Amino acid sequence: MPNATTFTASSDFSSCNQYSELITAFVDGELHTEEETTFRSHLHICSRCQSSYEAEIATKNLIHTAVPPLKTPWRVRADIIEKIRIEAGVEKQQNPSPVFLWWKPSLAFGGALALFLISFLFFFNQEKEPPKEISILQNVPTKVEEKKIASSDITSSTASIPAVEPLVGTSQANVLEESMTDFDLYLQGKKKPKKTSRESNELQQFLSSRVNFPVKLPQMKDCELLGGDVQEYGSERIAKVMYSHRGQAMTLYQTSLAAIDEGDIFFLPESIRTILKEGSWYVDKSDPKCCVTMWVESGTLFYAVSNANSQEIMQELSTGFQTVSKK
Amino acid sequence: MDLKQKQKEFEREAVPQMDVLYSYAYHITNDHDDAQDLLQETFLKAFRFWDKFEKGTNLKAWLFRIMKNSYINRYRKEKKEGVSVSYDEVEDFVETIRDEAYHSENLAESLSKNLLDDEVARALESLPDEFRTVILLCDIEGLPYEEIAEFIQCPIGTVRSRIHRGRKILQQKLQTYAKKKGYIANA
Ligand SMILES: [Zn+2]
Repeated sequence: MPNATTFTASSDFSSCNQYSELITAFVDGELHTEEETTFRSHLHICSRCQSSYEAEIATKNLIHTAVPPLKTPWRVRADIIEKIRIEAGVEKQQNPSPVFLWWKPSLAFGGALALFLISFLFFFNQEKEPPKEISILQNVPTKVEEKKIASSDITSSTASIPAVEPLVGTSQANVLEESMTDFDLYLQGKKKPKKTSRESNELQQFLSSRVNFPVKLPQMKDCELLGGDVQEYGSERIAKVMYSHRGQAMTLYQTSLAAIDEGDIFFLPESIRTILKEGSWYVDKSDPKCCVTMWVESGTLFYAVSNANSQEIMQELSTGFQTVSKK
Repeated sequence: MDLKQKQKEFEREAVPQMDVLYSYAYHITNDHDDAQDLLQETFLKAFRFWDKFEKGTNLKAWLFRIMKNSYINRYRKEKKEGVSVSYDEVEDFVETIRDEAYHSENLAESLSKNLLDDEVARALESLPDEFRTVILLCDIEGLPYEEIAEFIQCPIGTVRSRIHRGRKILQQKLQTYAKKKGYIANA
């Protein structure tokens, strides 16, 4: 090793200087076994090095606690991957923007947006493994009696799906960004979803007839249903359900998972797809004031976007799940 | 290699390194938007020069170097000269403070009890680059000396020595903060 200090064990303070850098390496677990043995024996007999050691380890810990490592915000990661794919010619720039991209925080939030994905324990796929990470849902009953929609039902109904408003916009139009901007308008009643309804059955029928994947409207304790909409992105459709949660907005988007797997309209990184398909969720709460939750159930990808507190929304969704599963 | 193959390989190998680079970018810029721009520039450059990356060498270190260069090009120009203390100056300073006066019995405890995260972050921020970089990589990102050495292209001994000195300066700064707040009695 270049610049390695040579040293000998000694209790003489005059030799301590040659140990001072070894303290650093010791704190970082970077000493070789031999060096470590010699160093430890000095540490035992030298109070001066002992206190240097304690101060150094405290400093290291202090730094680590005060300045924790960060994870790349999800939209930043997606944005970069998209740009690389465009450069590689894998993705075309003129496509309607993938739903998860170009998700810049709107003024309503002012901060980084959070994303978390929730498992779908409450839904009807009993064979799936229980989610790995969440504790909040642990007491959800495992017996679930939702009626399973056969995939043949879905495909046979495709032909008669009524037309919907295509999403007209620039290449940067994005369903999530739009919802962020629209939250206040919806809450103030200045903007209305296509179908205004507080009746979940009615709204479910409206949405289900316009898409080719199962649409769900979970009942949640503190969420008031405002209405719903279906939008077309290229060849794919997104169902969206608006809720008001204690004066804050939540939009529950639903897309066919196949559209993400096979289509080139929506994009989701492989790592997150894997998590979703395992029945798990991904949690990224970089901003406590807003959140996105995501989970997959029976071929439908759900994502809830809200400007309410992540913790609250997570609680809320978990109560919604329980209510649905108890039915 | 065709473009699609290159893109696949890049996503498989380079993209998983993104978190540590983002974290580093944030800690050197102290700004989410700047960190995002820097991260993006780094990955786009890395993708363009993917053919130049020597297989079998340390990819993380390679990406770090691209980021560091981008950072210097992007931000150094804007910074006024002479704001930061030179390495030599600090080195002399460290020699004088080394092993003196920082051994008050409960230093460790009183520092962690009485200092705010903000104050620690500020102290770290005020370190000269040579020290801040190695401390960031070692204490925040948890990289081994070997990787840090590859990143800053210095021998491992230099890494160790800079971490050592950096921590000493930090200790001193933090102790000064703590003293100012009256938590630690003057020795
Ligand atoms: Zn000693």
